[in-house]
Amino acid sequence: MTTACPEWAALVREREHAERSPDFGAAAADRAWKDALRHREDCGRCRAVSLQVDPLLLFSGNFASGDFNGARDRTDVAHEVDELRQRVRLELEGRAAERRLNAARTARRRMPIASVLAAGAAAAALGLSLLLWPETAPPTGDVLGSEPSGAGLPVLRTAEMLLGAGDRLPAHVAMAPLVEPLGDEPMGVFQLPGNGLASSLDVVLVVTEIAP
Amino acid sequence: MTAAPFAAVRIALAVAALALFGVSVAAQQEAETQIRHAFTLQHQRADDALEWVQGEMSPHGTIELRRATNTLVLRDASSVLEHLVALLRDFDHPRRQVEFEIFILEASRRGSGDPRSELPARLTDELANWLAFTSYRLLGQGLFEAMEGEDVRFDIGTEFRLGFRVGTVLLDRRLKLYGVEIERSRGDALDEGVFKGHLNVWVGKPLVLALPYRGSNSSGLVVAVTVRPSQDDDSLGAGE
Repeated sequence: MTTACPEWAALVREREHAERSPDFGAAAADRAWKDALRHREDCGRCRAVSLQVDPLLLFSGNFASGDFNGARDRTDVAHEVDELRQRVRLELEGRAAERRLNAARTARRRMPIASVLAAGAAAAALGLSLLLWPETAPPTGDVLGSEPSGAGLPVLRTAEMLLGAGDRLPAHVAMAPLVEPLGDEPMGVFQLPGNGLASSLDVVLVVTEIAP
Repeated sequence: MTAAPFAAVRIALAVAALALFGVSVAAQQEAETQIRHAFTLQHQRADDALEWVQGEMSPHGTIELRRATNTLVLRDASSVLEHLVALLRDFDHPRRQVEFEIFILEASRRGSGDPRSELPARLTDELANWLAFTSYRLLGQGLFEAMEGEDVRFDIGTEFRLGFRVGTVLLDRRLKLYGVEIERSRGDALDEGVFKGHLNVWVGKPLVLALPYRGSNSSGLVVAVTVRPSQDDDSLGAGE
């Protein structure tokens, strides 16, 4: 029997909510979810729509429906699915925060030091012309040295600087994503579980499907 | 009679102008603390080093890449510059050899086989935590060595080809593989792209890519890449 296409956005939202509730596994909600997944198996439209709502459904299959063959407890599986979604959400939020940070940095870099100097110079010229003061432009600070090998920089060593290059990875390197797209090609990637700080394995789910 | 108001305006304008001038001098003094330093790399690529130090610069710092001479010209506050040069000295180590271990597996949730049968034991426990596949079939595996900076192309199994440029090992811990391309060829058919992107791997720690098959909810490819110090090169530490 053909069932009607479910409303995936609402369904996934309800499912996520249900997975966090203590009485997760209530028969009615569970049946609705399983029916939807079964329907999705044979409905191309639902497959596309559901993946837009929750790309991790690519990796769910029996995992999400609970029809797996493994010996693990069903609650554990549900907990893992929930954890995955939480991490994906964190990842997406992290990316948004990073974008905001980069935008702020860019804006700061655009802070027109040169135009501040130009305005100051113009103002000074005006003041000087009014009061007939002599011009006293400060000397321009510039090149300390241009050395071919980087070996002869004047030594201004501090413990902090040496520590920075010793055994600590700079944050931007430590936090660099495991996968970066090539050029401008879009790539759907979910990195789990957080760039290798705790686990002995880094897992990246690539949500771009490939030929079987 | 009109001289007095004009003088007052003149003085007011002069005071305002000088105040602005003071601000500009302060800004310029900040700029003056910046120094410039050219660092020519002897062993590694300046392009790669650019990425390495860029994130450590101050908001007012600048960096210029001179490819022809493999040089970076840095301009920043002296304290920051000191840090950058220390990073660059570490980065520009003589090229090392690294070892790559690669597994390509077809994973499925529908099979009833032993999920661990064809995977290295150290991979299986955690994979089971993250991927719900129930069986794996080994399609290819390889153990290769390459030098930092080298362009490599490996054949893995009978169907897969993997190519990338080896980056520079950063503080013995991270390594970027540039332009990783995995292709699959079957018989006379054109090669199919499986994956394209850069990978930032941790030395000694497997990076697993899970790639779903089109139109399938239950199967896909799993590619596991592990980078280790070459056994011929003991200068590189393993792990984080």
